Amino acid sequence: MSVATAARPASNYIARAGFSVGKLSQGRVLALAAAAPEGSDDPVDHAIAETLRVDRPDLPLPYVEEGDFDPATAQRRYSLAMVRDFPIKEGTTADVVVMRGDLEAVLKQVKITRKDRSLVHRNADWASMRGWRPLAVATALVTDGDTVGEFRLQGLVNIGREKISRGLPDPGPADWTEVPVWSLSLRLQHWTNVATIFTLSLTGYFIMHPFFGPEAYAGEGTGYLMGWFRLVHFIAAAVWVVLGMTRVVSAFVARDPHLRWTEWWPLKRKQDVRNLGQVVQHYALIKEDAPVYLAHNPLQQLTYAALYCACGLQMITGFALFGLYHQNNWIWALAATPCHWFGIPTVRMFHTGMMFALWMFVVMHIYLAVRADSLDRHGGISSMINGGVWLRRGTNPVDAPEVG
Amino acid sequence: MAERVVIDPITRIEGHLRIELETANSQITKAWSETTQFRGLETILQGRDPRDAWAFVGRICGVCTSVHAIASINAVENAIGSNPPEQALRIRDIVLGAQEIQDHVIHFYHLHALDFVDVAACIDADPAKAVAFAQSIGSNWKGNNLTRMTAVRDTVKSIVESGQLSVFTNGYWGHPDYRLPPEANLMAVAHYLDALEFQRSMIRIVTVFGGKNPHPNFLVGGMACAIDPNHSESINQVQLDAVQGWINECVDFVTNCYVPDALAIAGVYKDYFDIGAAQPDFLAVGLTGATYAGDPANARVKSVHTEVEPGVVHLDGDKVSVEAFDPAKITEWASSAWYEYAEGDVGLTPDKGETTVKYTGPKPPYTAAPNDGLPWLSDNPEYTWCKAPRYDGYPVQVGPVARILLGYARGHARTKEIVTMAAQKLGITIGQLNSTAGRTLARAAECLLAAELLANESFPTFVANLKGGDIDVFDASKWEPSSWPSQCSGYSFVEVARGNLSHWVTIENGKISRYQCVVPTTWLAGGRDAQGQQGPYEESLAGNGKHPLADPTQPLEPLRTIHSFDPCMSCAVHVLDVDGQEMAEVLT
Amino acid sequence: MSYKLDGWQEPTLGENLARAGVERRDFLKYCGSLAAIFTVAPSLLGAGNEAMADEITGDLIAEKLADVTKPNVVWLQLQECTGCIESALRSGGTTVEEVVLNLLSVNYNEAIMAAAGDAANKALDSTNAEPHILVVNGSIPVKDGGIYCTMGGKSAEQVLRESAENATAILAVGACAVWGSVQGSNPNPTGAVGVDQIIRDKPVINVAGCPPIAEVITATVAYILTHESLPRTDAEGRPLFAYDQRIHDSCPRRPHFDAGQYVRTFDDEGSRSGWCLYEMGCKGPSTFSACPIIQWNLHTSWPIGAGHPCIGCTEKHFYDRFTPFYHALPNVTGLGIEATAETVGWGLLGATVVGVGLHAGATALRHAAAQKKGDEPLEAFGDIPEPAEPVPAGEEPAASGEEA
Repeated sequence: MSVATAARPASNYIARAGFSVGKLSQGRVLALAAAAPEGSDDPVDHAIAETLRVDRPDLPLPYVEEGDFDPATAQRRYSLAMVRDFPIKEGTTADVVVMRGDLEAVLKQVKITRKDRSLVHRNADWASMRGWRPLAVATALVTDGDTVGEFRLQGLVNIGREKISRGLPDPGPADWTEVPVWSLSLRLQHWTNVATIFTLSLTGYFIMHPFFGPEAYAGEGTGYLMGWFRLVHFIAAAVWVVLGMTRVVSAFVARDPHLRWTEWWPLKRKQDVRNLGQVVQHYALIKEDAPVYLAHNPLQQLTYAALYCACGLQMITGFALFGLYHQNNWIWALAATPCHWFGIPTVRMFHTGMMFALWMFVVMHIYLAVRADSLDRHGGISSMINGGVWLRRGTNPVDAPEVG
Repeated sequence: MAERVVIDPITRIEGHLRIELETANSQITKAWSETTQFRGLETILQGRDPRDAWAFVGRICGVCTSVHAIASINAVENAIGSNPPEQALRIRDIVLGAQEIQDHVIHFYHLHALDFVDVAACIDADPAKAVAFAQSIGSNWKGNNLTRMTAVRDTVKSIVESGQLSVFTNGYWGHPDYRLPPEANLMAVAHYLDALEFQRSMIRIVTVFGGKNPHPNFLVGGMACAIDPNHSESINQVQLDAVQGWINECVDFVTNCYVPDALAIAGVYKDYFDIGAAQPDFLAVGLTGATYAGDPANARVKSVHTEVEPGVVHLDGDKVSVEAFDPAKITEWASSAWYEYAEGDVGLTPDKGETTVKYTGPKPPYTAAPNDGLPWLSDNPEYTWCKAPRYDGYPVQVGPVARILLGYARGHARTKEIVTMAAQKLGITIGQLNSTAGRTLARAAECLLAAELLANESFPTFVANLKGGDIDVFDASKWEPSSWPSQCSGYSFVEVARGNLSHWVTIENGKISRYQCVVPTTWLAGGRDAQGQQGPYEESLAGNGKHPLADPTQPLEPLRTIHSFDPCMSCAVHVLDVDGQEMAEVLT
Repeated sequence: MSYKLDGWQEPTLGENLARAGVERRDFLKYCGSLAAIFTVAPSLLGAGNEAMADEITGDLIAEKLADVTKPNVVWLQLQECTGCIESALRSGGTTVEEVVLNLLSVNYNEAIMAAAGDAANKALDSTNAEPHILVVNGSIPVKDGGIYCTMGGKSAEQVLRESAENATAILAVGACAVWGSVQGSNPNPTGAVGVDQIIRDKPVINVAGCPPIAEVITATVAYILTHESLPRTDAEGRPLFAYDQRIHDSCPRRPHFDAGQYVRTFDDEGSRSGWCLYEMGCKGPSTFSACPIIQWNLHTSWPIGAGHPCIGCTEKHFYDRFTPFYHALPNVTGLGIEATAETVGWGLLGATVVGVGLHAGATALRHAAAQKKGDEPLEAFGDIPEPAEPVPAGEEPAASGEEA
């Protein structure tokens, strides 16, 4: 076992242990990544060696013979190195070929499960979004002296430029785990909402402005075009109202904290206000990172509270307009009261305006969901189907215990 | 010793008019015509869609309903260059004609007749004699029968005896100047009720095309009512038949009831052909219903007896002369009105009209009866909400008498025929038309012309066009504001019941930036101008100092003269305020 | 019991009943049953006799009712256009002759009364002193001390208050009296308001419309006389017998609305076929009125029947809330723009999409920049532009998972 002691040339790069996909510890992945010919002046080799020296002084710098290192090229974006007697775990060593380089290039050469591949990507994206470059590390066992086994991905080491990366959040060590957040009922409600709001908007738009229809008698039955649109609108409205009522009921009776009404009011402590400010700054592209929330951040909570109000108003104005048809019935007369306060056209315009406002919300909602999922890799979009979000182990969300 | 008299409210008119007078020896020496209502409609119009304007200005008046709306759509069409189709113009002619007849009939029977007819006196009348009286004056009206006259007498009797006189409460019954014999009073009251029934029936002509009355609907660019002989839900033969029937009713009532009644009353009150003369100058752009979009000299759209060219008629004794009409000579003065002009006390042309409210009168309440210790409006040089329009600097009369004189001066055959017939029957001269009775007579004569026009020209032309397949009623090419010039202005003249009406509109970027109406009653009810010339109301009461007023507590005589103009005060007070309001500061 | 009723021909109810052949015994029986059910209106018993209410007997009622004379009426015209009186003149149900001469004693009305000036004012004062029905046409301009409308030297407000004091029923007839109508529209230069904004201590029946349908005006009076009570009203004080349904709900063109058959421009084929005017800005869906049922001028036609969209004249503030008349919804104004709600809605939605796009762009740029900073070519990742040197043959590892 030979330990390289000679200092490699100074580098302005730094390395951080990233992520281990297999059974190796992150430190050992780092050590594998350090497999390079002695005296290499490559800045990456230097950075890895330096980090290994500082973080894991117990692990030796792998020794690679001059002829056992095959550097990466533009066509084959990984290097290969033969490491002999690598300490796989305490007291066990093995000869391995270390494949090290660009993640996508390495992934082509290894066997990996779907789940692991997704995890690797999640970590790589998360790091690269923050200015680091994930260096993939894979190994193959060498048996019988020269038979090279199948390559397995071991993990990632993040490489960053010293000056820039120092201020960046530490990309690791970390691991991701899926935390169940959204209950089935909430997810069902979400998609029913999508369906009803979509239906109500389309039919409502036509009711506002019937932009197509016959120009003159075509010699056929008169049809019931607007009638159908209105009927569908009213049915969808009924579904939506029932949905809204169940949501309100569940807000008060549900045990699931994410369903409860407290989720609609984030500002309970001083810290919440500060967090809100940070979230706003994050969205305004002023701050890189914001406090992590498992469910909704304060801005989201406020937005959803407003959204519930908006939908409520939409239902009230809808009933106010619907109720106009029967003023001799006290229920409908009561429902129509806003029309007498503000005037029917005002209520109609409000109802229309609210529809456009909901559309605006939908646009922003979809954008922010996609954006957050891309940046944070938390799987927010899929969570509306399977209910779970991904968080890095060790993350300490504001609204939940530390993720273990 | 001059005595001050106030008549407020003047009733049986449209709107709110107050007259203050000074009398001596039972004759009127000074008069002030005071309009006491202001609504500021034109201020409200600014920034609105010009296609909506008709619905706003239409509400200037519910008595002369339709006419402001038609003047408005004409002015807007003139501004934006819209060409309403031929049939739409014919429909508007029909509507104007029907409106004119209804308006004149209502005025004569329900607003004016009680100045001459003693309702209470008819309870002593013999119904048979009333029928005979009607026949003697040439009235062939179907209501002249014993059953009807008896029923009317009994109704009036029960009302009078009940002591609850309803609208006849506190009338000047028994006034010595009610001169009709009892049977004539009874006939007149019967016709008063018949006229209610008549106007209710014939006004349906307007409803067919405009959907309702008062305040029917109109459309910039034409009419909204589709006409198609082969569609059930547009105007077709069913409606045409009904309209024809109502037009027949018009001719019947006007010929057999209104005109004979007017002649008979004029005959009894013949001295009123020498009372109530106002300025001997008269302005009209044609006969009743004449319509011009833009300057009549080169109007793109014009209608109704265009052979009778616009003009200003001057009466010199019995000599009639006429000069050509120039719209640019119209100015409005605010000398005696509660407005101020930026340039001081000058006359402004309507297209430059401005009005900033500056109320200098007393804070209400002010005097309603002499010696109640409250202030009089005529204590101030400004005393009315009505401006004073002048033509070429002098006051002119407008209305039926102006149009009849214009037709006469321009040699319109039927007008001459009717005027000659009436003059012979009553033994009056053409110059005597400038009088209280003259104006009332001219209105009846004109109503006959209007009924004949409707029956013989407007409606038959419409039907003939329809027969020829012309069913277009709307020009869609200028409907969208994007098709209009970014800035444009237009105006229109229409001869309506009370006289010459013009609307003036300026449109900027699809919105109204200026709107002005010059309205018949403004011409007549306005006060003094900067030269001290009185308005026609004032001139007719105090022009020669000889207008009678026997009993100041029963001012029957001045009521007759004021009513002869058919006042419409809501029309008179029209205000354009371009630069915002400066509301009353002086409230003492 | 059947009697011949010819309206009110005798001075008192007793005499009228006698004339109609009602025997006094029947009348007393009727009054006895009335006493069991009703308390007699204080106005019939005279002021201060409320204490007698406990001792009401059939005899007393008979005595009071038999002495009833025609109700006195003050019919004011304030700031208005006389269109409402003109409309009343056209009534074909209960005719105006019937109302004025037989049913009521209209002691004061400027448009049709014989007396003028002082004599008229005295008629007004003496009627005001007794219990009477008050009908009001026209608005009350309250600005600047009431200078904008005076009668007999008094402001409209003073005249109204004096007439309302002893009124047993108050009818505000026409849009002006209901809310101010055209002169009460923005900017309302004279401060015009409706009757119920001045008279707050008594119920005001709002006979809405500009003008109201003739028969509705006279029927409201007749209702009071027939039922001896004010008509039931909606939330805006309008009698339900004429204002309980929207024009839209009783419109003969409603089937065309349901069928999607709309007039697209005036005088098109749809217009000639009597199709729905919704797209022409018809305010029928927002307007309560019996226009389609009662129609106008002896059932001759009505606005929509004559091809013009309803402008909503029975609704408060229709000159502001319903304009532009030819648009389905009122325009959105403010910030120097004016556009339809639809245009504004699409505009805002477009702006949202653009905003989202910009935000996404900014996010992408920022992260591209962050990534680029660490993106100096690194040999370890195979970033070398071209192969530094040929790969030694035989050193090629078991690529593609090739097993040795």
